[in-house]
Amino acid sequence: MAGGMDSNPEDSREAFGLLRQLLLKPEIEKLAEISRRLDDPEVRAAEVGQILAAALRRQAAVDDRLCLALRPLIEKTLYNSVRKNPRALVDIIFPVMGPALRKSVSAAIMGMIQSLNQMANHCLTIRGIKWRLEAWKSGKPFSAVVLAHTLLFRVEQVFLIHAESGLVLQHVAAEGVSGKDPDLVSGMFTAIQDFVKDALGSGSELIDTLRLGNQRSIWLEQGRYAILAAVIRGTPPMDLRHDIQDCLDRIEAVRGQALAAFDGDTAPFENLDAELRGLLQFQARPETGRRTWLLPAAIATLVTLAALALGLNRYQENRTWQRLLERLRSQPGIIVTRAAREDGRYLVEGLRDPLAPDPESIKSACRAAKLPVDWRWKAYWTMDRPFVLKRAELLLKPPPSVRLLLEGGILSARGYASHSWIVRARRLASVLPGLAGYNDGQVVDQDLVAFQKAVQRLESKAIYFVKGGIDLDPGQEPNLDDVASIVRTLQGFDFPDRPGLNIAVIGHTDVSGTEKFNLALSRLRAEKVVSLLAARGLEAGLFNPLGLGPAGTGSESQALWRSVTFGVR
Amino acid sequence: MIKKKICMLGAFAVGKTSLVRRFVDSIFSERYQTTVGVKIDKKSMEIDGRRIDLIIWDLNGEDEFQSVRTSYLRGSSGCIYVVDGTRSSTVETAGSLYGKTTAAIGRVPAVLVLNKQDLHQQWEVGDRLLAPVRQMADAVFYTSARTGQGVERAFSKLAVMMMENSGQ
Repeated sequence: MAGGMDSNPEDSREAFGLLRQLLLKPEIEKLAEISRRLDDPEVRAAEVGQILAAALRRQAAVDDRLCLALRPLIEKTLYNSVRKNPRALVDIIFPVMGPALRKSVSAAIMGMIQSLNQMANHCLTIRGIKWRLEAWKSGKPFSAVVLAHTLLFRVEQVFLIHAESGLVLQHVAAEGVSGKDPDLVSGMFTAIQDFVKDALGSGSELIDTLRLGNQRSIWLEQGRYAILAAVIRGTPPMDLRHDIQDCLDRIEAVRGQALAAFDGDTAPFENLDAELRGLLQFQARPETGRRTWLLPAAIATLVTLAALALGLNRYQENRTWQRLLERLRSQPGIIVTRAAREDGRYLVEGLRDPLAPDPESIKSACRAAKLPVDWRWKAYWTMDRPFVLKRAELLLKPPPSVRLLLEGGILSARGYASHSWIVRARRLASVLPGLAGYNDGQVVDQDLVAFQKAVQRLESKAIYFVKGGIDLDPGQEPNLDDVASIVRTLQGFDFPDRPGLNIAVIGHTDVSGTEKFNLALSRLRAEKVVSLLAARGLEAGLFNPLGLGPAGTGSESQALWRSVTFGVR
Repeated sequence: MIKKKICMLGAFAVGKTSLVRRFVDSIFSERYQTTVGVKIDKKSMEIDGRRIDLIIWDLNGEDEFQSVRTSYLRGSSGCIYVVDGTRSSTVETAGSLYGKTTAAIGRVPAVLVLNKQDLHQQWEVGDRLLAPVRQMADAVFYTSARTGQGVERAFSKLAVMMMENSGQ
């Protein structure tokens, strides 16, 4: 056959075409028909139109691909449409948005009224006044303070209730909340709803809030098939109302069919547990019950007591401080220039005479020993009389035999004192502050007295000579020893303010013999005594030998005949 | 879990409340009946190994002064009509309540309870009088709130009928 075809290709092509015609005629016609339909846009459009709805439906049931494919197209179309003619879209969505907006606006207004009511309620209560004080102190608006205190709430229980029968479909309760049997509570909610509706003739409107005292309320939201009831402690924000609405909307959207067909079997609603638990909200601090005031009250009491104790302590401390200051201010020799309390310690600044009492001892004396006081003193000399006198005593150091007196600014010394003390005191007194003068006229100079006594003794002594010669009378040696002893005594005195010791040794004669002879003799006798005293260890320079010649004839003068006497300048 | 709302209906003082008092969980005071007009109790029972909670709406007694709020009947899966066997007038009331209920919520399983069986000597309600009301109930029970006689059986029967009715 292959050979046949090779021999006449033209014939065999014709034969093959004929064979094809014979064998495949219906199919060929069908292909031509299909081809015509595919090529003709009108026909194709009409055909696709017929199956498009079914195709979309089928694909949508299989998966989301169709949705995903159409989404950008629809979005773009909507976008263009709104840009071109917004009115059309407004007309379309108004029936949906209108009621929703109204509901939202009315909820917002309700919320505002609610907060205004709370404010009004709290305006005149003790709590309200407290909050006003708080607002005043913190500078916040009163409304903000009220909200801060009142927006504490806790959703304790949530009931999902079948609207028609009042049966509980699902119930959740917050941790630690034990409610009564939810079925009975829910039934009673429904009954009361019905009762109020009947009594007020309010048609399909639902009670949306039941209030129990100040602290508990039940918020109810009614959907088409179900009611959501939230038992709330405290004052919730209006947002909660929206959450409840949203929750109910979601449940009805997902479980609408089950709700419509509900006939007592709660199984389809058991897994709504998580959805309802989302509503068990609380804000800030959950209320823990009636006893919550105990701890704050105990703390408040303690704080008050502590404050009282502290206050009392401060009061007492302050009184002690004032007492101390008074004492310090009245103390001579102390001048307080500044008194202050700094960083929990007390500070006293001022002038203090070194002779004034120690401030620490004053502190102890006025029972302020525990007061923490820092002293800052500058020394000064007070002119107060006792201080001047005391200062003089300290400086002059008078011997016990001397008494100091201060009269009219003049310091007087009385008694007995050594010469050196008198001299020193006189010098110091001239520089003592606060004195108008110094008088030591009544101080007896003990040294001077003793000196003068010795001088008297010396001046009463006489050394006698033989007649007409310079030899001592027999027995005059002890007399001469006495003189030497007295001179030594005189030498022991030291009077810095007086000229050095100088003793006149005066020679005398009797009246016999010539004047000239007697003068020479008397001088020789004086010199003889000086040399005898020098022989007794006394310095010759102390003596000034003089010859006075004959001593006259009177009885007193006769005692001086043939003698040597002494004189001290 | 299966929950069913049922209503207890009857004339004033037929003993509805006494009838259930010994058999139910209750948290509400009987005052509610005179104020709100209903008191709600709960009875849990087991039917064929399945738990069923009956939420019993004990409606106030019907007389010339007060009537049953039909809104309370909504969503009810069954009814118990109570008649005081010693007062023939209560049969009539039960009949009128039946009419009211059926008009409001349609036909639901119903049990007729002839109460105060313990006061048999004073019994007034005879078979002839009962004939019309027997028609309306799916079952009739003689009960005594004082002795508890027949009460459990009445509730059980109603529960079974309601389950059958809803194909559960």
